[in-house]
Amino acid sequence: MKKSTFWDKLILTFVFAIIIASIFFNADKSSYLDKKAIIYSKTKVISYNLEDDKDIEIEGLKGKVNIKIRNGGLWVAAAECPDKTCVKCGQISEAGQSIACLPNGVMVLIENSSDSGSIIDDVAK
Amino acid sequence: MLQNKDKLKKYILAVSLTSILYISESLLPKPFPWMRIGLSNIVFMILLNEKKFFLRDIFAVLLFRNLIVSIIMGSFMSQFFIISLFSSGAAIIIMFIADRIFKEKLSFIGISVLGSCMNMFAQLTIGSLLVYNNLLLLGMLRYFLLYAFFSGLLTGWFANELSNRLLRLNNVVEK
Repeated sequence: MKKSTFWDKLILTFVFAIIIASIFFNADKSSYLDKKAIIYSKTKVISYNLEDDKDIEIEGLKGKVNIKIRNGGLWVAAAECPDKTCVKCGQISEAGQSIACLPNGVMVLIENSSDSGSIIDDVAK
Repeated sequence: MLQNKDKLKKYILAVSLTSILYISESLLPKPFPWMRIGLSNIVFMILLNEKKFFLRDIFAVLLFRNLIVSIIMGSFMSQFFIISLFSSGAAIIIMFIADRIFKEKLSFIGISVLGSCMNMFAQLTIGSLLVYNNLLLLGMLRYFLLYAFFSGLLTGWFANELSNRLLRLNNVVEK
């Protein structure tokens, strides 16, 4: 007969502790002046400062993805995709956070400005 | 000959059950497309305990399940077909290893949580590589793992209950 055992509880506690620790010990205290948004699409990679409010339109695989930058945060305002998962993600503003629109092949990632830009094609001003 | 017929029947039953569970789950409303509970993995956990089923047999069930489901749902040979195949394969390997190392010391709850976490990790890794050619989606891994932990708990509990009921049924039939 299968019943919950001591090893179950041990493994569950261990896994849960690692997950919770990784969520809570990732606090990012830098201001939005130190951060940039990197937008990855199938054809290019562009970097934007979060200081400046902007409306960005990216051409994805299925259609357009509209991204707004306001007050140090950004969100996907509209996207031409079936599920609108990226729109439902809401606003992100911390380094390490990202929003992805898989059908369109578009991803937005917030990084600290001090991180070296990996394969950025352009820096938008 | 009788053993092969018996094994074939179990193959057909396993593939049918896991396909039906997978498709039924896809019809449930969910806030995000990747938010599946993983009920079809109950079948793979039960197969881990089947004496005549080796790892290659469980992989064969997985392959047939993915083929049938992808043809029905219209995602055959798409990125999602490949992501699902490899992530479920990775989960089965971890569950198999955990089952063989711990044997009777670990119930399906622990095995299921390990499998679902591995499934989520593999989905994000392969999805990130296929769609974006980088590993940046792994930045969201910790939030996805929290969901995988609870869905693994639920699936493991179901598998435990089903396994116990099947054992009681087998004992009644043999008497």
